[in-house]
Amino acid sequence: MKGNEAIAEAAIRAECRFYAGYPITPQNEIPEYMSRRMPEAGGAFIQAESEIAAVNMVFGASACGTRAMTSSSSPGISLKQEGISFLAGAELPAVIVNMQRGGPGLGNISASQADYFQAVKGGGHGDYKQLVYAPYNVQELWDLTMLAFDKADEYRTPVMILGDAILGQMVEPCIPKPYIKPDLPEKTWALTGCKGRQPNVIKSLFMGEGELEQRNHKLQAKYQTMRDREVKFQVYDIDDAELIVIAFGIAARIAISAVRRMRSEGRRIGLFRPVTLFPFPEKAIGGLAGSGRRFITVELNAGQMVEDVKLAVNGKSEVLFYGRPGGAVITPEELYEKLTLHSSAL
Amino acid sequence: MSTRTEILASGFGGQGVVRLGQILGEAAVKQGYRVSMLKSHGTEMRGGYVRSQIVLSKEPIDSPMVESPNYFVALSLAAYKAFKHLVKDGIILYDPAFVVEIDKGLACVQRPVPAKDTSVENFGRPVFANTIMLGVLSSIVGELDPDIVLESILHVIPKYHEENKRAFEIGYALLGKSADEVLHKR
Repeated sequence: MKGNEAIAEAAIRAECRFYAGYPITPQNEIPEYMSRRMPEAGGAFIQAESEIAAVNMVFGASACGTRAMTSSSSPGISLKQEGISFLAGAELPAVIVNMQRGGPGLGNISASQADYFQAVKGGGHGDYKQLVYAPYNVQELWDLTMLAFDKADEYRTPVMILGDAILGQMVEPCIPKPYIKPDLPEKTWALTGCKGRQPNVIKSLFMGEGELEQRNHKLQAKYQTMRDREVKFQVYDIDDAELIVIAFGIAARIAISAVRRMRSEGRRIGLFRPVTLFPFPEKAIGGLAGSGRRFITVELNAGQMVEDVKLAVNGKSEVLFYGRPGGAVITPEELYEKLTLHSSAL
Repeated sequence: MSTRTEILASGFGGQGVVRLGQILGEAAVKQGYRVSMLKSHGTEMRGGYVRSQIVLSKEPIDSPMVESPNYFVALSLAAYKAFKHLVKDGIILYDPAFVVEIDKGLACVQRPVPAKDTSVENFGRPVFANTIMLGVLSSIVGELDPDIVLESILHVIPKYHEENKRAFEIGYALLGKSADEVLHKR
């Protein structure tokens, strides 16, 4: 199954019934697939007039209580930031897929991870966060898409799937696990026609004295709950590792090749792969810091997640970085050479 | 990394490069291999090259990128020039109808496969060149079971089953004895 198609089908199975998008490579298979499947599933597919319109249509659908999604790639995701901020402010669930490509500007259509900051630090205006999942294979694209819809509803928040051009375009076997809906609170806040109940209001404008501060405290409490409960990561061979590679998404996949090869040569090296980028696994990484251990983040950008690793490590370990920006993809061979250089003393 | 078999196919948009990858991938999955197939497209369809990167392995596949292909199928001169240096001890199969000059300085094995001309000779048109190439690949890639590759061709391509079957058989026999030599070298 192709990565982009896995996302689209998993969304439908997870009861997504509204999709709006605007074409951009390398995520075009998502709207293409949705245009065919969504009507079959009894939902609505809209090719919007722009990325901005698409995210605002998602806002509308979500306000009505429908599971809604949009997708794009880096330049298009920039356009959606205003809408994402509005979704966060109005506490509306939505799933946003970013199949990252090289930037800045129109950049190119190669794989990149240069939208890390945008995804985890808010992106749009205001003090908000979104849950960010970073899948690294087609199976996780499937699984995490389903989970994203559940978490979006649970926390009433936008959730981002942060992929890249390789993951979107890659074909590999995937087990289409059935969707099992968890117990979620009923959407009593949704705009459903207001018969026999008090009117619901969905808004992100709070002009009353102290009203907005209160809303912000509520959002922050929600983000703290996410930090406590939603952190996900995977580790490989870290127990006795003296050098720990930290990488997410496709970079982690490339890094595994190099790490395995170095392990087989007897080097004490391991890999830590964050699956959620917000909440970031800062406690787990902080707990590994110290006692002479070193870290190196590997990213397809000029160095973004490395800043969060440094915060997590808080000076207790040396944190190095290796990455390539502009849609250049690191090869396992190249990474092996770099890591060997850094672990020569091990 | 020796547990991986890497196949790279590249040519113009419309030659069936992606289809070829899809068929090989499906066949390998049926044979119990782990498979990843990565296609590059987009602006590359306009004048550059389209690329399918296929990795087969008995182990889980980490990087889906082809670094050092065991087999490189070159269907355009631009593709040949772009990727010939990736092939270290692998084999380059090129269609001389498109790859009009080859680099004789390369250390790897290079074999011309006149898939386009063979298709035109036998079927009066070039559309079966891709199936012929799949036949050739099945004759030299030790990991592939030709019966399963043919089954996948017929599954993936909905039309012209008789022609595709014949094209596959022509391709399978095309290299003749030299297929054994190439296979042996691996």
